[in-house]
Amino acid sequence: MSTTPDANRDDIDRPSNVLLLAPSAASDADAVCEELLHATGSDRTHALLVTPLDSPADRLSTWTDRGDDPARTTVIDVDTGARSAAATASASASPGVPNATVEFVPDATDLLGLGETLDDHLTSTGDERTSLCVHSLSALLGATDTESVFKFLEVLTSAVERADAVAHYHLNPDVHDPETVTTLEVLFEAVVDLRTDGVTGP
Amino acid sequence: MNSDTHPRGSPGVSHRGDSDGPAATVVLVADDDPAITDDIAAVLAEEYAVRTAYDSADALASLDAAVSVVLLDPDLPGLSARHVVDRVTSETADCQVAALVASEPDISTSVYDDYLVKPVSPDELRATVDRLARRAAYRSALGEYYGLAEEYAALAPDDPERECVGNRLDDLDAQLDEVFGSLDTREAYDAALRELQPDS
Repeated sequence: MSTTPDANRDDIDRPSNVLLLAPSAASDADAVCEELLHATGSDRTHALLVTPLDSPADRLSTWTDRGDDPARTTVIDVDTGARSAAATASASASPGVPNATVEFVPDATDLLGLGETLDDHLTSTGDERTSLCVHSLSALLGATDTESVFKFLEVLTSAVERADAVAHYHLNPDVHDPETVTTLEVLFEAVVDLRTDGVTGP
Repeated sequence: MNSDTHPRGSPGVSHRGDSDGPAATVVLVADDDPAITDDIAAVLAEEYAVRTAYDSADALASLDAAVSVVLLDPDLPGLSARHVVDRVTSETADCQVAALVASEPDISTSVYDDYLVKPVSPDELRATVDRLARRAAYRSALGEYYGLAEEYAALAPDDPERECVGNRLDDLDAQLDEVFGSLDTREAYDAALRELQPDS
């Protein structure tokens, strides 16, 4: 993938919102996710993670295993009802990452509530830039419907631009019909497709 | 797209003067007191196409897809205000409804998008209707955008109609960005996702 060559990171027009099409078999999804997370153009990144799929601890271990920690991390834990009670219980414990806070959204069908919670955290202060990772849209689509997720994302992508933040959104193309994937692609400035290792505009 | 084109919420800014803007926003005012209804209509007529009704049957007769904002007295005689709200949710899904109430506590906020306490000052009236009209415009454009995105996705990549639909998507995207620029982020989420619940 070649979205932002490091040599002129601040000069090129970096896309604010990137759709990451990552099949479950894609072994490089975590590496691409981390690259996108740090593509803020700032040394101080506020990582804002929305995790309706994995527990916050599991999601956070994706970064801690690599060492390049964000300056500050906020995890928004969204309950889709698909996780086991044990996983939810361990999620509320300390995630084991410095400067990390966890917010809980109890109902994945409440996209309005999720949007309002995101609005509280989608702010950049000083030289800190917020980088949002939604992992994944497939879990939100499973909890609600395509139209609601589409409308939610139109507002969210606009809010990311307004906040001068960057964001990427995981979607597993294997578990949705191609029309759903194409419909959602319309919302994004850039799509990274790990099925073909290619980058295309909408 | 560039963040410079989205100034932070500027609720006082009106885009209605734009030559390529949408047709005049239609507001329906329905209160059983003709004096109140007509006073409100007179203020709003400066900027909007206004319809008036003094009972539920008139209100229902005046309600169609062209109406963007309804100001409704919940104690309207006739069929009851609930019927009007039911019709709003079933037929004009983008319409925003504010209740005209005598005092603040007697209103369930889940049923209406907003409320106005009578007597309403002209400034508050204009500000509220302007805000609700922007919400309705955002909701309406967003619904159209989704429908068009679905249409686009259903077309084969080599279908010649795809470019045409793509261009209309770009136009709607620009329109949505402009309205978003005049809305607070939370208000945009609310306008996009909240459903009126007439049965609650």
